[in-house]
Amino acid sequence: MRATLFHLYFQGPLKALPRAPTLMAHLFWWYRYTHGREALEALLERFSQNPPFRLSSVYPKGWLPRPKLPPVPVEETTLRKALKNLALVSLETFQALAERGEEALLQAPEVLGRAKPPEPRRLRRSRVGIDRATGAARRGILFTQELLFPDPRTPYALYVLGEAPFDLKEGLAFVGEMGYGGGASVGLGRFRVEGPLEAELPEAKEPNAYATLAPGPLEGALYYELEPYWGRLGGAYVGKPFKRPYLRTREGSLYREVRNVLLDVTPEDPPEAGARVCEVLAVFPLGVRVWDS
Amino acid sequence: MKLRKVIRIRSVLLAKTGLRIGMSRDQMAIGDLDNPVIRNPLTDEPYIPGSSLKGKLRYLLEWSLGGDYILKAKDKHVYASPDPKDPVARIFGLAPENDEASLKVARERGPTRLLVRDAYLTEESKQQLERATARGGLYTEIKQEVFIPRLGGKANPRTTERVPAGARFLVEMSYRVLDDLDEDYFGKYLLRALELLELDGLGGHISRGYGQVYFLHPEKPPEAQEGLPLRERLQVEEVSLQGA
Repeated sequence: MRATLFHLYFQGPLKALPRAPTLMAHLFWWYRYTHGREALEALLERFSQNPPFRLSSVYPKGWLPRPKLPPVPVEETTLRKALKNLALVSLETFQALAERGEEALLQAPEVLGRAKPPEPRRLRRSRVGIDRATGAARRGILFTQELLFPDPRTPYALYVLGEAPFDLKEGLAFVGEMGYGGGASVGLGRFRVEGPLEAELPEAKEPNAYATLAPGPLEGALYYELEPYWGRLGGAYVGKPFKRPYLRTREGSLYREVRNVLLDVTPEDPPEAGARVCEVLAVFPLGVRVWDS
Repeated sequence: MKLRKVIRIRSVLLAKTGLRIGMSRDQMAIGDLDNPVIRNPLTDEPYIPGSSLKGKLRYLLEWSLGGDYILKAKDKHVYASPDPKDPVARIFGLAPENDEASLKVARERGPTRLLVRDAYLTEESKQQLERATARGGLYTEIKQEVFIPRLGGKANPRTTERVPAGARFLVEMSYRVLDDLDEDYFGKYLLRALELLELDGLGGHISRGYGQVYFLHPEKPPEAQEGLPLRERLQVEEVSLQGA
């Protein structure tokens, strides 16, 4: 499948690699800031019907999530554990998986330990609260955060299907400038953007299902891994309350049809009168062949 | 509430004296340093976390304003002003309590205006500091200090790692302007906090001479900047919302 590709280069630490719904929400805030509330509402209306564009989550360049295909039974312990722990696969392995199912993994270089995706280093960073009276660290408010430090020279891939009604690179550059995710006010989540480029993503020739590169809705999922999501409100809606929690599928989950949904996650106590809080769950589909009955 | 503009501040932070921002250690091996500095795990280079810089600016501004910021910060570690126009909460942010009154104030106040990035060594400084490797530390100096018992006895040595005087870090901050008040607060409070930082210091052991810092304009020759007002030593520009 042909897709548009952006390379993100992280400029410092961040809490987690960008995932499609959160990145989309950042872009929506930027769109609201630059085009106004009405324009954003009109765009969201389009997402409830037929999304003009779909974003993938962000992966190291050349790697994709392992599609959640029916597993093959393996008796040998080392191989079984290697299979169990495998989260990302190379584009070549994804192609083989899409065509032949999990059988293809038994000889895959990632499983045999010959290929590995670049992994961000982890560092626990301690933070302290300062006692206003003494200027020294205050007892009881020392806390530690585990942060990811991706190599600033390693490109991370963001794939896009369709056409955004704005210059996507400008929006992404702004998000990268201001910081993605939590802790942006203390410097987390900064990235530089390169693109747009063209990318050819692997797919099965005659697919009968789709693996998603973005979290998707529960409805219509065929083989999937669930996650509960309980995010905070973004943009101008600081602090509490949180969005209404919901369930969604993780990247790599399989669908029979390409799905999308605009979830209403407005909390019971909305951030302001009349405000609606929405979450876009749009499957980013790559065709796979499922060999079950 | 609409984002009018973003002001970006760039500057080179010069460590005029040894700078020490410490890190925690999960475990310690025999022969390790007592007090290592925080380092980037990818490069092993020391850096200044945005949280350290932002926290110190906030603390200094609070002290310069005094009153409730100090007197009422006892139970919580910062003073939670009920005023949505409170400059400290606006500029530096404030996590609201989960009660209706606090949430109302938080909504009216809006998001944190100031974003402070992690500050990394400049290329030039990195090259200079590579020479420090030969003297014990990697990009740093190992300083021996001694504690002297008041009633005699042997001196108690301790080792502290610090970034040597002369090191330079590239500092970058973004300031969101949502209304006229933010524009006003930029000059009145944020620049004031930066001035106070030069008078006070950054990191640990300031009272023993560590952590004196000085801001330099990144595109002007450093030798011509000594004594200039702070505003002239900062590169202040507006970031376009239509493409950063």
